[in-house]
Amino acid sequence: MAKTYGWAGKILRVNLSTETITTEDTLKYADFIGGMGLGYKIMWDEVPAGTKAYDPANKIIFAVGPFTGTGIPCSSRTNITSLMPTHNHLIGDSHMGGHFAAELKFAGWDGIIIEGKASRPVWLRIENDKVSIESAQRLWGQGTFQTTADICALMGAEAQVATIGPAGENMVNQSIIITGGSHSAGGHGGVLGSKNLKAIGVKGTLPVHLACDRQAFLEMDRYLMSLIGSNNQHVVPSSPQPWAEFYNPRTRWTARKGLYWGAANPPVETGECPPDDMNSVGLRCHKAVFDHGDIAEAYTVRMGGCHSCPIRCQSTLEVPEAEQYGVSRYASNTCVGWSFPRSIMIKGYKDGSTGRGTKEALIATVVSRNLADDYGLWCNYNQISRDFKYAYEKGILKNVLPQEEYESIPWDKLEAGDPSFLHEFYRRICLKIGEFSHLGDGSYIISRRWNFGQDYYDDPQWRLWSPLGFPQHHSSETAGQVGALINVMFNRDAQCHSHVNFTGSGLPIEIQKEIAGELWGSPDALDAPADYTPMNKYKAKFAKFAILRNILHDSLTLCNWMWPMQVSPLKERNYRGDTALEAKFFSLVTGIEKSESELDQDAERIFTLHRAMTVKQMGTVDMRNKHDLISNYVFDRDPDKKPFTPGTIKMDRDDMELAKTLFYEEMGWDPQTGAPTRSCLERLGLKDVADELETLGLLPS
Amino acid sequence: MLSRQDNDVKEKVAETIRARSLKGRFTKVNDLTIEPLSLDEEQVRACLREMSASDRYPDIQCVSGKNQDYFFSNREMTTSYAQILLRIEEKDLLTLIAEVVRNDSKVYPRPTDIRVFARNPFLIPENLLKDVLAQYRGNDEFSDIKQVTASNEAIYLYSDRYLSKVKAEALIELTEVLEDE
Repeated sequence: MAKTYGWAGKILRVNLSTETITTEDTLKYADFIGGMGLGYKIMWDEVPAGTKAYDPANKIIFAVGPFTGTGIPCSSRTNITSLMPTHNHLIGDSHMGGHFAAELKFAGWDGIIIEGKASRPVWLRIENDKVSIESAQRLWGQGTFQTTADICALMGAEAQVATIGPAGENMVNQSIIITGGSHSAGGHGGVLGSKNLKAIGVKGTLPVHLACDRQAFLEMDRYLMSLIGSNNQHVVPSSPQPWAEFYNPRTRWTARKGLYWGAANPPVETGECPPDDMNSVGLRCHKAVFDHGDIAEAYTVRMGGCHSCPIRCQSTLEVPEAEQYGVSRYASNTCVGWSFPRSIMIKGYKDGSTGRGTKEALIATVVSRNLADDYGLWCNYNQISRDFKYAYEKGILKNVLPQEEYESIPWDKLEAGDPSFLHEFYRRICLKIGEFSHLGDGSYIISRRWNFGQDYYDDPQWRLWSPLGFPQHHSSETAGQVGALINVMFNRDAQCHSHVNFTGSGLPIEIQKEIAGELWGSPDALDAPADYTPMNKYKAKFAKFAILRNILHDSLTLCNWMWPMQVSPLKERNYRGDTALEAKFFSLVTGIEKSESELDQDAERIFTLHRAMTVKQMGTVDMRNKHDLISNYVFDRDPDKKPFTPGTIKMDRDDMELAKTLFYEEMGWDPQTGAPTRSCLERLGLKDVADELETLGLLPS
Repeated sequence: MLSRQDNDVKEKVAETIRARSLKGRFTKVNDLTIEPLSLDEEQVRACLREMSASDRYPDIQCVSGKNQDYFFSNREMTTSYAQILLRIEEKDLLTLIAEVVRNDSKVYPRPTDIRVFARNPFLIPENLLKDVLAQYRGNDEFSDIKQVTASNEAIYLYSDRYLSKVKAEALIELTEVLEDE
């Protein structure tokens, strides 16, 4: 095979039914880049409409891209594409960080296509081009931590493992695939379980070739590092510091004098980390205090994260008291990876406190995190805790559970804030014990099975963004219509951070608006928080940019919690970043010259293919009214206030319909239905997709 | 014509100011007359006057307190930080907190999380902060400084010269509750 640059050049195809292993050429998919693009293309080509998530005919694709393993900062993401185990089995993707992606590349693979179903539990072993299907008889039934340890015992400590836990094995809809003990991809664990595939272990020793000379790569890397901020590309520290013109307590640049990784030995002071100090980039984000409050400082061992990422956004805590509940005193995670396990204790903690910020909350969080990760349960972006809270507080659980089952659950422990309750919560859901276990089915299914009231979709406290059953994820509370549009476009919670990174950067609104004007055509692309204005075409451009960059990152692969570099911490650049960096690195690494707009068009192709597949799966072109739905609370909150008045994030229904129209027009989709048109599909090189949709009667007229 | 000795002194003074600014500290005249520099006070004052009139030291800036001047390098310390440091040095907590709150409400705009004042560079103990807030009540000079509480009981301050109550309430609810994931 000819030498390839960036890409490894090979994709692994594993048929678990026939136990055959074959190889394909990555570059036939070059128009789809890799990662998510590769996944969507294969799913379009090979998985017929009407297939369900747990059918053997479903496939699951683990894919990386030309940036993975090159050392480009924040480039170790694995994208996983398959049907989502929800009521409608639509296509979706999940992602995990850690080191698995890079290791897969070092083994010489750009992706793994898994199809069929094994006749008995197996795991996949990859060591460079030596690939085998191994018996998982001994692994099946184990938690993810032990499975990882067992596979590493066989392959070596340097192996990277992606595994499911009992939740995935039992095809709990809300299951994860997890790597490195704390980096999880939510939603597809059950698909692996349906295929009897317990885990993938990978070890690689091959190089990743770059088309450019090393000096050119290093210079581009140094340039990028000069622009990089802290987690979520926040570019302003959270406290006043001598080097900084601005500060914002809500940014993730939390380092300051007197703030420590307190449980490290000796403790490590984060200190003031000016942007020109490359040695302190990894200290900028003390994520533990950001996620848990100041209480976490004393329990923080260190920050961790992914291969080739300087940011280190995962905090590792040591909370000795967790051991009395039968779990490790150590746990690592970030963001909702902490707020979800904490939220399961819906009645608060032993000391009577609720919410975060106390030691008891921390203990419960570590216990819950360990159980969630080991069992392999997914939270649906924390919606599972709200499903549970609603069902419990409204008396629904008491009604729907058989009396014997209800009485067997230690509700007194929940009421008392005793973390030992959590064992029952996770055990019952992940081992599918009793009616209670249906909490793992997903919000759409459980709200119907247990007859939740309409208020579950109408009351903002439950955060159920879509009537299709997924929660808000940086939605209208982030840049109004822009966040709202992003949240309707996917088949699950949006997982897009391009826009919230920008609005949360910490810069004053006037500077943000100036930059918005440069990037999306007018300062009117961005509203001040809680001071929204009616929709305009610039907001549609902002939403399109945010989504396409998310798609691009999940295909290259890059971390969308850091990229794109819309802003920087540098006053001498007027805080501007460089949104052409993806294209610059692409040209260097692959040797294929692409401009920023050309690479964005590749992303547009991938996202439009996602849309086309959704149309095909739903059997309708009427995406506006059947798919791009928004729950009532978004429009009906703050009843004493009107939309577009200061002090509310309330949206307007007519305005959102206009927003959809303008977005559809930006994408070249039919402005009425929101379905891709033939001309759009052909412009993007997807004529075959257009032809197929036409034969199915699914092109808009 | 300046002597080489004069120029040497100016360079030492400038270096000292820059080094201290890098650490987040002002330089007062007194800091230059004690060890290790041990310069003559009159000489230091003359140097500083000449430096401010010269274009050789454009980064050396001065802010004036009630009784003395404070020098810093704006290459190593921003003017906005210097303004905060001035109030801290002068132990003028009333003005310090009000200026921070007004600046936050005007520039970003956002209410100010009072937890910020417990941390560097402020390090104001809780009881002292309570005293300051109590002194604002009924004081016309600070009548614009208002308090607002989120539904999770987090307390913020804002200036109603620049931020309305309804906006302040909405912003802290967004920050504390709606954006907590």
